[in-house]
Amino acid sequence: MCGQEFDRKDCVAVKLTGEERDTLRKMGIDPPPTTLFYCHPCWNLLHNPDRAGQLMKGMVQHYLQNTGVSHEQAERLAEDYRQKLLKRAQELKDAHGKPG
Amino acid sequence: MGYKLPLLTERSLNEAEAGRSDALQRFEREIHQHVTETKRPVTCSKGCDHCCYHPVTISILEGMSLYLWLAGSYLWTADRKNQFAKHSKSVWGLSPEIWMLSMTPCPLLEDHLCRAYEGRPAVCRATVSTGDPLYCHPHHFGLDVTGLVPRHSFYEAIVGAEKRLLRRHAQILFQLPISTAVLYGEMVCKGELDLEDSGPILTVDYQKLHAHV
Repeated sequence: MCGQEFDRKDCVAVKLTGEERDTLRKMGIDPPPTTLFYCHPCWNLLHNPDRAGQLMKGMVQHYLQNTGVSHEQAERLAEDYRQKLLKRAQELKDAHGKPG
Repeated sequence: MGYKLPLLTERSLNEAEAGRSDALQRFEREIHQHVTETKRPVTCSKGCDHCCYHPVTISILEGMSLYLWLAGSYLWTADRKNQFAKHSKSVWGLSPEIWMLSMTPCPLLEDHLCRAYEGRPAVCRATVSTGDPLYCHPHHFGLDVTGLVPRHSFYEAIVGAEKRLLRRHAQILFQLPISTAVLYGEMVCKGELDLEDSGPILTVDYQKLHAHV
């Protein structure tokens, strides 16, 4: 996530589900990866639903602003995205006890 | 508090504080110059906390100063120490961009105010905006309209001075997250860690961070 070079054996490996891989394929990432690797500092952050949600929101907002979307609209769209992520995480947690 | 530091450590600590104070005085003149040239006033105001979500890294020397200020002001409580430990765990080793975008608040931020305003780090004192405060928000930051007063010369002055001081102790300068620096600063001030041994310990701890969850 941070783009820094880490030895994969020191990283946290997250296996993607079939559904997640299908989504990536639809987004044009074909073949999709089977596993994603995160360094421990990034993983510490992604463990925290509040911080991880804010990070994803910030990334989306920053991207939108850099592509010329006005900051009010970018903030609104990014906040919608964060709410969707939180909702989806809660659904997964409720259905499978899987952490969001 | 009754802590007695080794003579050379005490001297370095005092010289570092004096160096930061000098650099800040020079920076204040730069702010005045910037305001006059751009004809844009300083827009920072009480209660605006956008920059309290920016990554703040300081040296162990400044961490010691901040710890002594917090302890001297009776603000270094068990709860606060836990908050610092939690903050340190979540941000140490993070790249600054990720730290910034994750909106992780400074552990000293309470109700939109800094609990250590009078003793805050030099880098916080040198974060001054003359633009729309909206663009200091981490999710808006980085656009051309961000109006922070340029502070490269200020950074160079304090980093250069602290590098020279740490060299006396055969140490190199580590820029640590504010929480990490204060926690290690406490250890040095309490005599649990010698400043001369801090570098290897910080390196080992940093490596551990990447080797364990």
